[in-house]
Amino acid sequence: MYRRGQASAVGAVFLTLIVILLAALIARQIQVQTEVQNIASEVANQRSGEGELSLTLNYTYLTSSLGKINNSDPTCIQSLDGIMCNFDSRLSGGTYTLTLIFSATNPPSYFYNVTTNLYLLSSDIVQATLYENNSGTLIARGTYTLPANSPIVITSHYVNYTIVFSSTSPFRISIDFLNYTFQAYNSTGFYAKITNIGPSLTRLYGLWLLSSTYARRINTSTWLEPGVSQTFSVNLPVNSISEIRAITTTRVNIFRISVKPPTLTAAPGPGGGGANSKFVITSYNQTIAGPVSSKQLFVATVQNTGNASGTVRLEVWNDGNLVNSSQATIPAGGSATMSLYVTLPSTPGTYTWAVKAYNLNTGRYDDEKTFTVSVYGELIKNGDFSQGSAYWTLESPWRIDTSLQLARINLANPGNISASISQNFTVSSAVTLTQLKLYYYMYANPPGQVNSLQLVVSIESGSTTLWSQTINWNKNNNPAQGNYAAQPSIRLAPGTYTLRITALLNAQKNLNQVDIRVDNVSLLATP
Amino acid sequence: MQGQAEVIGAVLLLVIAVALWAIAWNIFYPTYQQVSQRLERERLLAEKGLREYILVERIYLKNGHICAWVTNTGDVQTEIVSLYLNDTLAWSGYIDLKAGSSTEVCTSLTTKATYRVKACSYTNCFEVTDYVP
Repeated sequence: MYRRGQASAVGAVFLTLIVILLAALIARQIQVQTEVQNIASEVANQRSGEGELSLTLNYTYLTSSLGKINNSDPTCIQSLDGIMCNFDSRLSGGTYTLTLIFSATNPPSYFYNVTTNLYLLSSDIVQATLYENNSGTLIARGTYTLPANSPIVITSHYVNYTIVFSSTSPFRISIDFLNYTFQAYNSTGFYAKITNIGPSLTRLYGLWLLSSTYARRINTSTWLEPGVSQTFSVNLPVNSISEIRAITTTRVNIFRISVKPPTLTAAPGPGGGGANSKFVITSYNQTIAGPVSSKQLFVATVQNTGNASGTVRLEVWNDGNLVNSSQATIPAGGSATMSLYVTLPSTPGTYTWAVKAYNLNTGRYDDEKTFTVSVYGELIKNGDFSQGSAYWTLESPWRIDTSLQLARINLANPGNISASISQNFTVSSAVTLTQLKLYYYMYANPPGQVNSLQLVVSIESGSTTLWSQTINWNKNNNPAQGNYAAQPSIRLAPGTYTLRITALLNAQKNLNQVDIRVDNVSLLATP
Repeated sequence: MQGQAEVIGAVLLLVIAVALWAIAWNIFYPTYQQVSQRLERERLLAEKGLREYILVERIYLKNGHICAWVTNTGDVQTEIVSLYLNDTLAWSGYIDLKAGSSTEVCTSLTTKATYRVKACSYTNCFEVTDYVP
């Protein structure tokens, strides 16, 4: 009895101990699993919500310059202080005239545009004509009627210009102030502003500034809330940089940039203040993209901010060549949306084009904007199979359906299929693949006899698959057809690559028919 | 006398029970500790695997060889032990990388091309596609 009691006590001790330790271990295991799940969920939330970034470059600055008149001493026109420079008219051929030549004392080397304000007072009612002085040639840009003894401001957009005043009676022109404001190109540096345009918090680790011969990383460690920006000051001319990469936790955001410095020096800028109609381009396509030599629609809205109706000619320019133009008459205060087709260049690349509003009433350009034109090159030949199987390699049972002009597998009682059509393409200089498109059609009868049916689209370099995506068929969508489009966004070095479209069929034994078609294959690239 | 014997018996039983507890504790507690420590190690490893991220920011030629600029954009310290270019082992070694810090890994490859670059730690591999200009 006593021994039995002892044994029971010992057994109870062991059992209790084991149960306690096991319970502790199980509790710990559950705690660990919970912690790991929480971390997984936290990290996944943080990374999946990582925002998109945008890049804004600021490579211009505003600078002022005093003006001078007829190369005279400019001290009397240095500020709006009531101290005037006086110029008297002279009698010539029965008319009193006065010619004044205006220029800036200290213009920047290069600039995008200039605004100049001339504050003056006439002793009598005088007619004035403003001429742009373009390398010695005078071009009439506007006419004004100056009131007597009432100060006015003449605004124009030329560095060098001439005003001819005339009247039937003698007059005096008193000039108080002549100033110039230039939007100049910053040849020593620029600001790069990175903005989080996504919906979630994003961490920025660094910024790469790259060209073909240069690489520099600006280190940072910044959390960007949605809509928040960080601005980096870069002490390099912006035209020396071809690519900027912004590094976040899981992404390298690549921005290709191509900024040309201005060509304007002391030459006149566009537009000028008019007394009648004045046109402003209020909205326009910021970018136009398409294959080489394709026609694309360009749309812009032009507003007449002047005080009279006028006719504007909207012109699209490609680096000094007029691409197309369209004309509209717009009442004062009104606006018009103007559309015109433009033909893209025959060479792939990224171009900066200009759209200009030419005022037919004043004979001057009132406004000018630039926009980006991306021209893609087609890498695939005979993508519509109009030339049969030319350029393509077809594995059996693929064949060309000459009546439908497409690549097709059309089999009765098929077994499993794994066969591709492929085309090699050569890239002579580095390109970025921007768009892959094709038409597909997949049909199986009866659909319940198919385990899986897919088209795998891939881009290969030798035996390495650089990129691939799968188009899946399912029995609830039979036939499956549509236009497939993808943005591979991969950069290819010069070399030969392969575009492969593989049909994969896993069939059961009672499948009666399968019909797979591919057409209009296109792979676009930009340098 | 009978009362004394019962007391002694009870004390003896207590002593025996405590001794058995001690023996059992010495046998089972180290095992418990080992299992517990293994659980903790696994937890730390799982957390590292989840929190780490290695980002290949760019690849480029340096002195004729392809190099990769790699940053630990995860939340924990990690290590780079191998680098693959198009699934070919291009570099192996050991580089400690604190959270937020970067390093350069140079390979013996020299050909300009588009590569699938895979940077691996002991726990994960991270892949990007980039081009050597």
